[in-house]
Amino acid sequence: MPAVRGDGMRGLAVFISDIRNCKSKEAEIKRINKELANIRNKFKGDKTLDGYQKKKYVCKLLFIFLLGHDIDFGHMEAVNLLSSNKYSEKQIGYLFISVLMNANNDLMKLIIQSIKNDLSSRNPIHVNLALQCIANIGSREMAETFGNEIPKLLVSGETIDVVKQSAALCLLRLYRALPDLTPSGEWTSRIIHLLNDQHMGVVTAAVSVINSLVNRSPDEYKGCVSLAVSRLSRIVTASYTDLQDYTYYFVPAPWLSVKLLRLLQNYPPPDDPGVRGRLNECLETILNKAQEPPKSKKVQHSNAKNAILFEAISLIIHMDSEPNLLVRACNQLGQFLQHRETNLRYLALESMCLLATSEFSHDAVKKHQDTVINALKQSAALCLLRLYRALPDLTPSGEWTSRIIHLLNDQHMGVVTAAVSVINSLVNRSPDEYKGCVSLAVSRLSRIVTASYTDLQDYTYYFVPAPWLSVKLLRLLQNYPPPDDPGVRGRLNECLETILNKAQEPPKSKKVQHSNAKNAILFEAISLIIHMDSEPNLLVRACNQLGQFLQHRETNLRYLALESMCLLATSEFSHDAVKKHQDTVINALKTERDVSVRQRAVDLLYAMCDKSNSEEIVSEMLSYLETADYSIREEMVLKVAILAEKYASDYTWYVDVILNLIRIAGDYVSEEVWYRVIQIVINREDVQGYAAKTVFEALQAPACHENMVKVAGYILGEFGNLIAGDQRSSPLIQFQLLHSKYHLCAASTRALLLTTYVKFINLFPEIKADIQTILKNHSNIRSADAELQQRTVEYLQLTSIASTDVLATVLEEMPPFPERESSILASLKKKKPGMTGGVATTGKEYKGTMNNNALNDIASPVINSNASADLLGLNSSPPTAVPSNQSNASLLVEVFGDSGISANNTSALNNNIGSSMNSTVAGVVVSNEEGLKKLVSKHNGVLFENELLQIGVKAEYRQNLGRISLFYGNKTNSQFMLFFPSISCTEQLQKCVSLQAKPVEPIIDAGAQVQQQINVECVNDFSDLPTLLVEFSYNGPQRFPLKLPLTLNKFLEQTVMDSETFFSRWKNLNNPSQEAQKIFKAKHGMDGEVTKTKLIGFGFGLLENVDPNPENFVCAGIVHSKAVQVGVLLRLEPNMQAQMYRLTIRSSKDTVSQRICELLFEQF
Amino acid sequence: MIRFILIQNRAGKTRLAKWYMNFDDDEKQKLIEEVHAVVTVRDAKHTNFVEFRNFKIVYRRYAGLYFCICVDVNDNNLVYLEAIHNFVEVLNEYFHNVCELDLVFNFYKVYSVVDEMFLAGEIRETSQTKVLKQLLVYNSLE
Repeated sequence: MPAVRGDGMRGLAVFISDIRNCKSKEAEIKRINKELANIRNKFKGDKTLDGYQKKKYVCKLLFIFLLGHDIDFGHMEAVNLLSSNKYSEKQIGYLFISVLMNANNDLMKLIIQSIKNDLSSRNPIHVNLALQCIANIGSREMAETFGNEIPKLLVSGETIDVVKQSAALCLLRLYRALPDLTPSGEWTSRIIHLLNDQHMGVVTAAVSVINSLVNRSPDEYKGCVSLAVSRLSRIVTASYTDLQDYTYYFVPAPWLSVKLLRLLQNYPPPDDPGVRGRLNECLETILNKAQEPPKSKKVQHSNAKNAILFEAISLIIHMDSEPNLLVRACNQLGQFLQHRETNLRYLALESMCLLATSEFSHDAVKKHQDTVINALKQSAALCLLRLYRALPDLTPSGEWTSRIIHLLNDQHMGVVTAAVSVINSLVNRSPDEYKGCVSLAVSRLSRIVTASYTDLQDYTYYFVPAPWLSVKLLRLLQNYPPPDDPGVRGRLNECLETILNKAQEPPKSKKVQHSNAKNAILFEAISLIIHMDSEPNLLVRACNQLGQFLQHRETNLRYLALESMCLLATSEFSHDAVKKHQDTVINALKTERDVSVRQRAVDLLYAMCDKSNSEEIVSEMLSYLETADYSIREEMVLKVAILAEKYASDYTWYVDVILNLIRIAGDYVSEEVWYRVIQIVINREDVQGYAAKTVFEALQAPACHENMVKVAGYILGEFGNLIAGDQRSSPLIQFQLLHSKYHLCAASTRALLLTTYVKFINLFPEIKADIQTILKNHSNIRSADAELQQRTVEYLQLTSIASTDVLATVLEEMPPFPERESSILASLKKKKPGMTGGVATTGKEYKGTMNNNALNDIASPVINSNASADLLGLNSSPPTAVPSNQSNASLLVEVFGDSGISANNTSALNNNIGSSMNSTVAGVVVSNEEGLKKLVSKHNGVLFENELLQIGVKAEYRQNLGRISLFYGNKTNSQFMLFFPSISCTEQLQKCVSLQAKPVEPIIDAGAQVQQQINVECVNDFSDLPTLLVEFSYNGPQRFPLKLPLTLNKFLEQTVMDSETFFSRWKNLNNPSQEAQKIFKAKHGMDGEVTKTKLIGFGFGLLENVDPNPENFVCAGIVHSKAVQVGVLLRLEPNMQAQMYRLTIRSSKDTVSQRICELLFEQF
Repeated sequence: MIRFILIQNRAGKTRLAKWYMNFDDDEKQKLIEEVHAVVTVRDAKHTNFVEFRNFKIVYRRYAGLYFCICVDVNDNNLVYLEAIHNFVEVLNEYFHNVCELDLVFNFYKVYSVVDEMFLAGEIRETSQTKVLKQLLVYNSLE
């Protein structure tokens, strides 16, 4: 074949080159206008143009039009070209007409006349051009004119193949344009017989037109079935060398095969057993071929082969009559679900959806309904589930939603059981889309609950109707708030009541299976009642039911009852009802043999504790602690400590409790606990004397826990003077008592005691000499431990040289601990390096840091970093900063940080739309806040909706760029006028984000939707949201100030790394300002899968198997901005028992850490 | 059926637009922009199929050009994916190593290639040999 490039019209090529060389839009327009003027002149001129010139100019006009400019002349010249005898001129003429002319053009009469001439031409190429033109324009007028001509051409024996192909498709287009046009009956059989045509191209074209005719009059064209089957059979059994031209990458005639398979989907399976057998053979052959090794490694080969395969599977599902083919199809799809190619997984998923939602009704299939088809549907549903879990970004398209939901109504209980699981997982991803499942689930549940055990036959398990399905349905409902529809809600409440009633009925069987199944439903129902948290009487009934179980002879039930009661205790409606069972629970704590039951009892006591019963519960827990199992001691200690602090009205009680804790279970008292008691004693003057007295007494016990020594050392160092008046605890006695423990303690405790001693010198100058003797002691001043030696030397020097005034200032009593330490501490740490001189002692800043560590710093310019075990650890590393902390520790922190968290909570947007709207807008469906919250971890959704207006968002982001499409929908029955949405940023935000919004039409018609596109670039990290002000006129001016869902995480892209890299990076980012942390109560359920989806949707890459604790989530990502790219690491540690999370974000930029942490915390 | 065929480059310039439904000009322009927005952001690892309005776009990228065919949602995806490739192979043969510029300078010829292979929104001819033979005849005709 000769090279096409370069031949043709030179003038055109020059013009195109000129346009391409234009540097600007203006230059291009200028060049085009020049050309237009030139062409206009030529066309107007007297000199008649020859065919070539006309062709060239018409072609230039066409090119200009295709560039997007209007053309208002030259049509006549184009029509003139049609009557040319030269192919190339005719072709340009027809092209111009098909691209530019619409059906109402004045010249249409002329055009139709030209087409008529060409159709009757002897030159097949002209006929072909005319047919293609008709097919391209396909107007009604043409349909009326040529509708009866073309069938003749199509079936005539004289027509050549190429023309037949065009005629077939031309006819198809005309039928579409004019649906009442039908070929007369005489053609039917001849058209059908085109399927037997020698020429495969003709068959390919003919199948399409036959397909469309079959849709209109299936009976008339029924004859095509057997022909199609035999044609298909010939193709399928052909080897790839047989069909030559029509073989595509070793696959014989793939396009034709697919078209034939589609044609057959218009009919039920063929009646004639011969045809049917042949068709089944074909389908089997296709399925067999899928198992053969590929003939080529090219993707074209496998695509072509699989196109046929998928179409064959559609036909098999459509035929609904061959169980064994269905099974094979399902297996084949199952294989594809794990294929490495995304396309195949996607398509297999679609076909699976079809399979899972099809209603199989044919007799032959019905016979196998139970054994085969339902099993098939079941496994299809579960296959889907598995796949959705593996690939969170894979979701079935919207069209399946309602069909999938309606699986809940399937006749077959097994299918419903499988379907509920997949629906549950889909609900987690897009709750709104699948909201419809609530009412279906409720009615299904109601039918099961009210069924007698004989009704459900196979699905009755030891006289309990469908226990597994019931539990799954109850679980599904826990994804949603109580139903809004009062009817549905009433029905659901009835169900729950029935379940509670059944628990009171005498058992139908003594078998444990029966009671287990029954109670499984009962416990799940109680969970749902707790989740809904809206029906006080149900909650109280649930509580009473659980109360009965608390004394049940079966351990399992007692255990489960304690567990559920824990949740009940958190509901305000049932808290009091739970408290009635306090004695039983305490009794359980003492008498249960199984440690896991006792553990639950501890949890429940913790949960039911409030001001009124705290002293009793704490004392019970303390007394139990003495004999408690080692495995639960640490947790109990924390719980006691928290309860004691939370409900302490009298702090002497609190001090007693904590000291008791240390006495009873000193080994299990973590540092946080005793740090905290010291903080509280220092902050509360009224308890200081009591604390000093108590620790002094505690120290007198012969065996005294080291933690006790630490607390005593610290408190006596501060407040020993308060009890020094008593002869029994004179300064010297205090000192000797402390020092008697000194040698039994570890270095860290000794260091602390040394500080106490130097404080004693200040408090009690009379024992200075005794203390200095100790300091001078060989084992201290030459201690092998650098920390001890340094302290000893420094203190000795300080007490020998400094005047009493200086000493008194330096060793001043500790100032109260600030309420919100963490942020102050961070800045404190930054300042420290500069504070090495001793002069600033009276400075305000310095006072704030007055602790043992500061003392150290003054004494020597060397900053001591070995402070780990000292009390000052309290300041330098707040308890939450230890990443390996057990989740229990976070409980304690929550109590500390309560105020801090709620303060951050208010950072949520407070643009209250309701108040700014006029009274016509009553039923707001989606507030901006709701929309924004959802759109943090999703790109698409509804931003705002009320009675008038709906605003939808679709967005795509890539690195630091994004494109947001806003869809404004008019929900009313009249126009919105002066519609004007505007987007603005604060000055701060303008520096960080650049936004370009395209203007929108100022009018939105009733029920119409307009789109606005906004291009976004992230220049630097940011924390504000842009404002979207929507103004329009509808019954007076309307104004909606909203926020645009553009959050920093939109520019977060996932990264992947292994465990080692992650932790080394994590450790490198150890500056407190690089970390942001929040500890908070879970606002939603704590389902791991949901959490994963949210994290991925948020933009993070989930790192599996990185954290040693599989419950924890570890993620990494990069925030892209024009200025800088910031790597972000995340750890999310859920505590199921406490229903809390600890979220830690580290990144190299403090503002990024803060912002990501804030955004993400809102999501859980 | 095929609703339209678009060939666009990465920058969004349309190299070919073939419509098999009656859209008005504004609508066509809108569709062109939307398709570009939908297709160009997709990763190579994504599927070659995107849902689009009530339709589906089957697309494939060749160097800087996106070949997009808009079809009905229930159409056979793979068959159209390979129809694109078949079309590209024909173009490649016809223009001897086709490049974007060939499509610019010979736009009127590309339209006739399309009409040979697709007509009325259906696949008309799939044999590369036959299509090329026919195109050769046209070329020799003047």
